Amino acid sequence: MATVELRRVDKTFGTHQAIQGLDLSIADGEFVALVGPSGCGKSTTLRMIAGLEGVSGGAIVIGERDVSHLPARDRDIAMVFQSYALYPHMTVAENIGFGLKLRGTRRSRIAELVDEAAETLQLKEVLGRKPKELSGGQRQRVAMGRAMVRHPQVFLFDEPLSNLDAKLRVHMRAQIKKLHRQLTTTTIYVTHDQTEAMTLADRIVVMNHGRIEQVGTPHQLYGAPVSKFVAGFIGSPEMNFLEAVVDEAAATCDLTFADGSRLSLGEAHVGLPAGRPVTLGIRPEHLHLAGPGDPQDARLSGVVEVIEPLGADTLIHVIVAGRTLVARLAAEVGDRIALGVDRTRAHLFDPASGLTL
Amino acid sequence: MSMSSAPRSGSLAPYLFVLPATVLFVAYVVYPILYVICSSAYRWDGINQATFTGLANYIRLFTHDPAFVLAIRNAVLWAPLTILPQMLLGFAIAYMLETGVPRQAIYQAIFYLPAIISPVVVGIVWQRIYNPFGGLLSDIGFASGLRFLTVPFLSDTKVAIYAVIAVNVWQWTGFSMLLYVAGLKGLPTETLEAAKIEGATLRQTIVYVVWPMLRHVHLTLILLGVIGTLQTFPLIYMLTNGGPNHATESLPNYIFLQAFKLQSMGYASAISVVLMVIALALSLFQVRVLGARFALAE
Repeated sequence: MATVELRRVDKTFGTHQAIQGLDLSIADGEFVALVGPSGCGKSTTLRMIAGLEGVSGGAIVIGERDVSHLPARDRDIAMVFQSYALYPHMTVAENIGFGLKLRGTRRSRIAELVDEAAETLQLKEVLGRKPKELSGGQRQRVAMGRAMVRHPQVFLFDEPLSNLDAKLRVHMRAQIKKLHRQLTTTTIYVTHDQTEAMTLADRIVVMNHGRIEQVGTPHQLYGAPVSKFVAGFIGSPEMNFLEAVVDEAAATCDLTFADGSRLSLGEAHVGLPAGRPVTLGIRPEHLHLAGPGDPQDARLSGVVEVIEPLGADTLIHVIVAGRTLVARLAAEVGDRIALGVDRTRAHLFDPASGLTL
Repeated sequence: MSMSSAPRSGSLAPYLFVLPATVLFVAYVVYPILYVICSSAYRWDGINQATFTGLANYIRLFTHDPAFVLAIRNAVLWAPLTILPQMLLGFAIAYMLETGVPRQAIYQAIFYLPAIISPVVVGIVWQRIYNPFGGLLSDIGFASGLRFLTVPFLSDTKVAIYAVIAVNVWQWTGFSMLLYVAGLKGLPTETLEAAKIEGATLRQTIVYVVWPMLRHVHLTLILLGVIGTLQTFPLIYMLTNGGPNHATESLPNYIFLQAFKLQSMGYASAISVVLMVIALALSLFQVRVLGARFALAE
C-alpha cells in the first residue's frame, strides 16, 4: 500500500493539451474514482500513473518514490483493463500467476498464491480453462485475480465494468467493494458511470477538459457541487437546470423565469444583485407535490408530459417555464401540478462561468 | 403469395447452380488426377502406345532410384530450413518495424520486394552472385580474405542445396514479414500493456505473449511453406537444374526431368502420385492435427 501524489502533471499530445496542471493527493488505502465525460482526461491520467503514457510535465509520486520516468514494470502497480486484457493462450491459473512467474517466484509459491486468489474470487472451478471458455464476469474476476496476486502498492481500474451487462455490473461492483475492504490497497478507479463512482469511492475526482473540477466525498459532490458541470454529472437522474433572473427584492432571493413565472428561494442566496442572470439547479428528489404547507412563492407549476415508472418510484417530466423538469413523483400524463421546491437544496450557478454562486 | 426457401424434392435447380463449378472441378482437378494415376501404371513416352506395367514404376521408384531418394531428402531438408528462418527473420523484421521505426511502409516495401520478383529472375541474379569466377560473393571473398565466400556454392554437391535454400529464404522472408506485420497489428494493445505492467521485459513479452498470440500466423506460414516446398520448381530449375548430380533435386524438378527430358511419362506420373499423397497427408496433418488455417488472428 502507498500514497499516490500527482504534482502539477501535464500531458500534451502534439499541440493538444490533454491534462493541465493536475494536482491530486491520494491517501494510503484510499479508494478514489476519476469520473468525467469521454475525452476529459481520466483514462490518460490513469495511464500516466500506470506508466503506459509519459508525463509532459510535473511529477507522479507513489509512496516515497518519484515514478514519473520509471517504466510500468518498476512502479509496483497492477491494472485491470476494460477489455480484461487476458492472455488468450494461457489458462486462468497461468493468467493469474504470470506476473509472479516473470518475477522468478518459485512454482510451488505461485500455485499457492494463485489458489488463494482463486478462492477469494470464486475461480477455483475454472483454473484450467482458457479465457474464451469463460463468461464476461469470470473474465473480469480473472483480471482482478491477476492484479491482486502480486500484492501491488496500487490498484488501477480502467472502466472495468463497462463490458458487462447491467445486472452483472451491480454484482461485480459489490465484489470490488468487498475486495477493497479485504485488501485495503490504494485504488484508483476510472469510470464514466457516476453511480459506480458514488457507490465505490471514498473520494471522487470529477474531471473536465483535462482539469479537475472538484474533489470530494460522494456526499460533498452531491450536496455541494462547485459548478454546474459537477452538479449535472453527479446524481441520477441529473439535476434540473432553469435559466432565471434575480428580482429586485433585497430581503429574499426571488427569481423570474423566461415565461414570467416566479420562484422565491427565501433567505438562501440573498445578496445577489438585482437583474443578475443565474441558472437555478434543483435535483429531481428535491421537488415534491406542493401541499398546503408550501408557500405560494416556492412553487413551480407545469403539465406532466411523460411518466417513467421505475418500480420503487416514478419519474415524471413536467414542462415548467418552457423547460422540462424531472421530478421523483407519482402523477398522470396531462396533469397540471404545482411542484414544491425544497429551497434549502436549490443551487444557483453563474450562467457564464458555470461556477456555483 | 408465400415463397418457400426449401427446395422442392426432385427439383433440378440446386444441381444446376453447382453444375458449372462441378464441371470445372472435374475437368481441371479430378480428371487430371485420375489420368496421372492411370498413367503411372504404364510404361509410356507420352507419344507412342503405352504398355501396362502395373506397380513396376512404383517398385523402381522406391528400390532403384537414388535421385528420387535425394529429392525426398532435399524436401525434408528444404521444409524446415526454409520455413523456420523465414518465420524467425520475418517476425524479427516485422517486430522491429512495428515498434517504432519511422516510415515503416518504405522498409516493408523493400523487404517484400524479392517476393514479387519472378523466381526465374531471382535464379539468374543469384547464379551470378554465386558464380565463383567474378561473382559478387567470390569477389568479396577474395578482396576481404574471407575464403569461405569463394567456394563454388552451386557446383559443390555438399553445399549446393543450402545455397539454393538461402536464396529461397531471401526471396520469401518479406512475405513472412508481411503476414507478421498484419498479425502484430491485430494484437490487442491492452494485452501487451498488461504484460508491461506485470513486469515483462522485451524478451519476456515476445516469448510469453506476442509469439504465442501469433500462433495462427505461424501455422499459416507453415502450411504455405510446406505446400511451397513440394511445389518448388522454377528457382531450382534456374539455379542448378537439380544438379550437381541431383544434389539439389526437388520432386517437381525430377518429375519435369523424367516427363519432358527423358520422356518417361509413366514414371513421372508415378512420382507425381507419390508427391500428391505426401502433399495430401501433410496438409491433412496440419489442418486436422495442428489446426492450421489461413488466418492472422484468433
